[in-house]
Amino acid sequence: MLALRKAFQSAGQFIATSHNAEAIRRFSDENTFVLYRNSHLEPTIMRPLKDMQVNGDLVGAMIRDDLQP
Amino acid sequence: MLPEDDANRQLANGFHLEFATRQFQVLNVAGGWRKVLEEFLNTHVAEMGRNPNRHMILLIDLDGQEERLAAAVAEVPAHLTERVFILGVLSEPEKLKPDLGDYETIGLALAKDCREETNTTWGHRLLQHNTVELDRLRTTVRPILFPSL
Repeated sequence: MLALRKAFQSAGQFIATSHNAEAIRRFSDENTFVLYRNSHLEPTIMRPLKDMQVNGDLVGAMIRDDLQP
Repeated sequence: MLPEDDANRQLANGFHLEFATRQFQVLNVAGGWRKVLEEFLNTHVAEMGRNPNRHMILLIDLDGQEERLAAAVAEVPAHLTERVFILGVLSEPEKLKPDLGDYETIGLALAKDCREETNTTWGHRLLQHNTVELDRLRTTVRPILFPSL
């Protein structure tokens, strides 16, 4: 994942979506967006992680459903 | 690299971005400087015994207690001291942000300093106490991470 990010550092844009903990941990608050929807009938909400209050482990918070925009 | 907390993990990500080799892995956060040492002693000491090429960088916060660095170094088993490096912000990484930017940017700058043998970012007042460990790290790890230099 870091090699991919490195490859796009000087030019282009790399966007990945994942539930995989290792993939998520290879990004940081400034370049992570959280996609969330309350139900399958409601639209997806996207917010930058840096604008959200997350204490401690991000992946843990996601698993516990504590990561709500 | 074993980071104490999420802020250190992001620093480590930035550090890794500079060279992006699979030889380098950022491990899951330990959840406190004591837990970094516990995890290192409980898990990684034995694994390093099986793999003589493995090196570890423990990334901890000193929370204003510079003597913590020496205390942590003292816990490393004697036969592994040449392959273990302990680095940390004098207070905590959050305090670097106003001067140096976001965590990844700081991590990138720290790795760049290692590659170019400069002290631009490592010379920051909250990082400069790492000099001894950093010199050891450069000598040992630089040829592995930056083999073309």
